[in-house]
Amino acid sequence: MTRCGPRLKIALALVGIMTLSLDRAAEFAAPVARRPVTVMLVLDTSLSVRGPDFGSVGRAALALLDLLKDGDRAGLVTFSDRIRVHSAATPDIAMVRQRLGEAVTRGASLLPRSVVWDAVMAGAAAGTGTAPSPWIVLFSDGLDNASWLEQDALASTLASAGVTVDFVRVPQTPTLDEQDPGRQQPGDLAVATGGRVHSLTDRDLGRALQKRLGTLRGS
Amino acid sequence: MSFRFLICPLAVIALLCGVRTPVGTHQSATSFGELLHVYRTADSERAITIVAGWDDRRVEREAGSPLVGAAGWDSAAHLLLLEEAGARTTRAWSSARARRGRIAAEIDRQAEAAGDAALKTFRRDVGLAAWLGVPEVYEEFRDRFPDDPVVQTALGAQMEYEAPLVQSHLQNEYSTYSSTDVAHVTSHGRLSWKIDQASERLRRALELDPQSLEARVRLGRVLWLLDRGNEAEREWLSVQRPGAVSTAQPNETYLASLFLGRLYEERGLAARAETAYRSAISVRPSGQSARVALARLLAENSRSTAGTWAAAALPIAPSSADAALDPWTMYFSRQRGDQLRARLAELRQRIRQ
Repeated sequence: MTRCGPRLKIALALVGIMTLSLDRAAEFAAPVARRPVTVMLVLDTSLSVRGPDFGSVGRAALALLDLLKDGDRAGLVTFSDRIRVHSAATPDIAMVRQRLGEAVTRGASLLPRSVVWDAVMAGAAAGTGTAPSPWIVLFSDGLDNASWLEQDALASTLASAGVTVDFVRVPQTPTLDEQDPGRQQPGDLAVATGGRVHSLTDRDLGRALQKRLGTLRGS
Repeated sequence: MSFRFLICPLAVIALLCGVRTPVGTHQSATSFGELLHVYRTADSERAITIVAGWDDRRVEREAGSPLVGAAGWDSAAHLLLLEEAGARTTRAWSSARARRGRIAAEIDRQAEAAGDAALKTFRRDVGLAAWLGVPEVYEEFRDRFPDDPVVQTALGAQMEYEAPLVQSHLQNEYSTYSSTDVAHVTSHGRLSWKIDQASERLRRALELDPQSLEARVRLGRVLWLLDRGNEAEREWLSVQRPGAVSTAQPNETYLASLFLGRLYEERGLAARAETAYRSAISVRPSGQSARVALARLLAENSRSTAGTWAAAALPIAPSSADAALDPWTMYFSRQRGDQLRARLAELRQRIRQ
């Protein structure tokens, strides 16, 4: 016994290591538990963004929907002077795609009014009630001149409710005066809710949004 | 404080006011000066037609300077703001804005090429003058129609609209100046002038027509802007009072409830705010401002029941229908152009007689 002692200890140690390794291997081999996401698209369709880049808005939004998987949800809100909730959060992504296509081809309102903050609130409301809290992706030039809600109050509410807002900055129609006093900074809303600021003209926008999606899934 | 800071806007206003080229009775303007004359004699329809007919190069040529041209377009754009009630004038408004933007860009280009910082400063002042230069037009309306409640309400509404914009414009455009300077101008300059004018015009409108719910709602908001919340509340509650509610003026009832909701929120009275917002929704079920206000209030105060606040907001305008515009969205431009145009037509008729 005395002679076998060291060998036995080594053997037991090896068995222990192998057992632990198998446990870890099993752990890694198990399917990754990705969290489903709820993506609420909030699209500015007002006159001020109806420039040459407007087609890119629809394409970027569609590309984002393409990244969604079974179990995910999506919804769609558009706005100019009026808010339209085309779809509350739903697992029927195909339907959201269809409504997105219809929404971006509609004519713009001629009234120079835009309600960014109110639309974001509507998007949050239309995306909530399902777990997890919605991720709002706002496509806009940030020109708000008619919202009832104020940005600070909205940001505080959404941050407390766990709603994240990413802001995709859309170039403003070049003919409009860039010093319009209605211009706001939705980037501040994104920062306050733990979101990110992107640019529609960024060639890596798709990759950036995919990365954000991955982060929200916890993968 | 920089002297230039005060002088430049005043110089632009003086420039706008000082050019008085006589025009014939046919009111056809062929120069920038004549356009201003038409504008100042309040023949707004004619002025719009003239503006629409000119191209940028002509403005610059007639005015002799792109700077004056820009000032002219600012004035024209502001005039058009007043007139934006219909689709035709909205297009004209967009067009004037677009042109103004192009001219402003040209000024920037020239300033850059010449390395001229003064030109850039001038452009900021031109922008400011657009907000400050208009009161004379309103004073003319005020004096010509002293006993007309519609005109008095319209003037009060315009002053109510402009006061915060002047403040915002000053803060944006003059961000390089010290906040003390901006505060000085906003507190002692045109801002207080406009607020006082708004209050005076709206009180006058109520003297002339005590049943005018619009004047009462707006007076309440002006009082609220002046931090006189108790007086504002009294005005709005009187609009809500049974018997005062007119089915012919649902927009005013909606707005009074909406404003009361915000006032109560500011005071931390969530239950009363909720009642006020629900009251607004009962008047206009698709009112998006009241719905998002209620949704935010519920989200803020009952976070554990997310479905509750979702339900508050979701009935917002369905995608399949063009719901009516929310009264708040059009609060600053409803019917103004039509009302003033009608009064101007009366005025022209009187002059002809």
